[in-house]
Amino acid sequence: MKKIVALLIALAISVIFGTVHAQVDTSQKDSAIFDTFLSKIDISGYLKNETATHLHDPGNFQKVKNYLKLEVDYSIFSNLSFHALSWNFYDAIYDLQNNQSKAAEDAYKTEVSIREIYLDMTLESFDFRLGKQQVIWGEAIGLRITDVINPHDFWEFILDEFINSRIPLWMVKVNYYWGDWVVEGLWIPDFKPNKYAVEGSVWEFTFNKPPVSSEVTVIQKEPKEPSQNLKNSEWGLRLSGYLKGWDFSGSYSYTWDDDPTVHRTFIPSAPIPGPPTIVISPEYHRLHIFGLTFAKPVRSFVFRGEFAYYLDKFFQTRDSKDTDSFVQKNFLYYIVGADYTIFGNWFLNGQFIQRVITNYNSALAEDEFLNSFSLYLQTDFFHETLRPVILAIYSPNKDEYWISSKVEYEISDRIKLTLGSDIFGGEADGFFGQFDSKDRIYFELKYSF
Amino acid sequence: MRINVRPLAFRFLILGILLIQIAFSQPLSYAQELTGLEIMTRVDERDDGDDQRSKAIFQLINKRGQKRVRNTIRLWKDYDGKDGFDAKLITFFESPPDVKGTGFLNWSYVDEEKDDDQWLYLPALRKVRRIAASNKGDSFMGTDFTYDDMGERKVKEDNHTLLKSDSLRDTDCYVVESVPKKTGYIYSKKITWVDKTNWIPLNVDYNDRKGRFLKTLVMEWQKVDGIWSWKRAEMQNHLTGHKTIIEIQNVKINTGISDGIFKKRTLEKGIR
Repeated sequence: MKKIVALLIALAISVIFGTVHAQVDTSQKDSAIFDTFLSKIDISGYLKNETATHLHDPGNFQKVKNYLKLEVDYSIFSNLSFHALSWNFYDAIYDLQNNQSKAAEDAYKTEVSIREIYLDMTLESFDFRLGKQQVIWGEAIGLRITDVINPHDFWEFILDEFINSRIPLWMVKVNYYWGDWVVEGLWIPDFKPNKYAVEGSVWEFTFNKPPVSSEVTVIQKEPKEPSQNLKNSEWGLRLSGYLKGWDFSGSYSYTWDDDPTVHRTFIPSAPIPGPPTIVISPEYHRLHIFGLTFAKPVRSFVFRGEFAYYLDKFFQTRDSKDTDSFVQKNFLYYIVGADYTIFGNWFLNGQFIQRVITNYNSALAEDEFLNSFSLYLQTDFFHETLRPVILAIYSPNKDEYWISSKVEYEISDRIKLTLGSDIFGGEADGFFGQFDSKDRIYFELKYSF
Repeated sequence: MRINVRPLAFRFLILGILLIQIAFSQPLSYAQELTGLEIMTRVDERDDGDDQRSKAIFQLINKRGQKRVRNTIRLWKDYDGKDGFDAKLITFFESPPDVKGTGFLNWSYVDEEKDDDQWLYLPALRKVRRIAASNKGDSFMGTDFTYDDMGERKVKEDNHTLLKSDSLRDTDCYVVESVPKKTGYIYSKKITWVDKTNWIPLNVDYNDRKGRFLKTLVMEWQKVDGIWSWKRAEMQNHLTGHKTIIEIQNVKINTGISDGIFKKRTLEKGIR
């Protein structure tokens, strides 16, 4: 199915460039046509350096990464356009220091890729988008609640902007507009799982690794990904709109869990001589996810809510009798919060975030209630040239936190300098706490064109 | 800012009354007949079309002369009370590149107690986000203008006094002082030079809430399809030395902009 979408795109691109070629031929006689082509194409992007170092060991750098992001938009006709985003980088850290693994160097030193490529068609009441793309749902700041369509690349944990860390998928997106309402349908024949930072890299996850006993033999199998066919496609449907001052959306996704369930099979030693064996077989499972969001302004406040209800998610247990050590549960993951704007340009957002496992079983390894609070503050000075931003998230379950702060300075219309820090704390088996020793400071220099 | 489309019979009645007034009135100057409120009401009710599309170039210049430039496209439509709407507005940034594609959608209502509905599209997030209605005294996009300076302040929110007649840039003007009825507003006083013939403001002086001389606005106008429209507006802040120049280009009036433009769909897709 992925191939069909790719074929459609390739066909469309050949039509585009066929058109372009034809136009260029003609332009030998009439340069005005070529000028028309140039007027229809838009190239933008940025050159950026991101340099980060450990806060408590400033000589030990985390990255010296240099990006070239290139976006091309070509308006083929008034209602048909083509978009491509090329993502390229070189991280000099692997040539400057030897503080990360070979696997990290292989994975993160360089990349030249077409990250997004799609066609947009606009009709009176319909929009179609075909190709490799991101779908962005939700209201939350700093978290992905109903933003469940694209998997996540955790190479830099959740520190990178989501627009860079979502993994684009090949899909067909159709929007139907009716008054102030939109029905959005997705067909996604392309499955990709979440990507976690490789072993020996800075942001390698350590908090959910199962302990390995020396008294058993472990056979680790590769994750079994669903094959690409119509039956294994992912589907999404969302209704969003405006009613009496409220923004609403309701969504449903029939999807794959982007994280494999690490099933275990225990093989006793007898009658085979030697220690017992555990076979670890990671496997992806289907999920149903229902979503609901709202936003309602009241004077200087905007109240927001975002709810995702997951059906049939596998959770790990501590039950020694349960050889597979996984059970299926439903859970609710939501935020409620509010924006508050004061003095014109002081923007404050507070959120309460909770995950609740329904029909909870005390044998589960995870807490029934996982609570977090977040605070976001942004303002600007000197006619928006200096912009400080702080995001802080605290979770009492593991007494863990993440405080992200930065100051952006607009040197000119095209050049921006950013200085920032990320501070982590909490128990070592927590989502943020695992990076307690990875506090960092960074600077970024960006030239946009 | 609103156009009152009145029934034909009512227009004839008004015309008749005006003719009778002209025929029987004493040869008094017009200025003597008009109050500050009437002058500012005429400015407010001046025909500005049913819809407008234009390009606005913002130059933000600090006291050291460093300049930043923002190019925007603005589409506006007067609803004149239809379905409760006063007007709808959509604005896009075309440059600088870092904010290119940023869009702002505003629905304002005839009911003055009802806050505007506003949405912001940020290309960096690729998300339309509902935002709180802007305080009219807030800075407009980091410029020296406030939302009120851009024409959103209601005439009846101030007491208006005609100070004198004066000549400004070879144009006969009324000079009107406007003082807010409620305390706590960002300005304690505004003085406006209004062109007597065309009911367009040419200069505005602003005093801050402490009474200090704060800003001066100098406006140039252009006539497009018989309707006066901004051509250039320069706002100088005398306390900070910062100034903002807005140049308006490619003005198109009464082109019949579709209602469908003023939707979140347009914010996401942009305007070509």
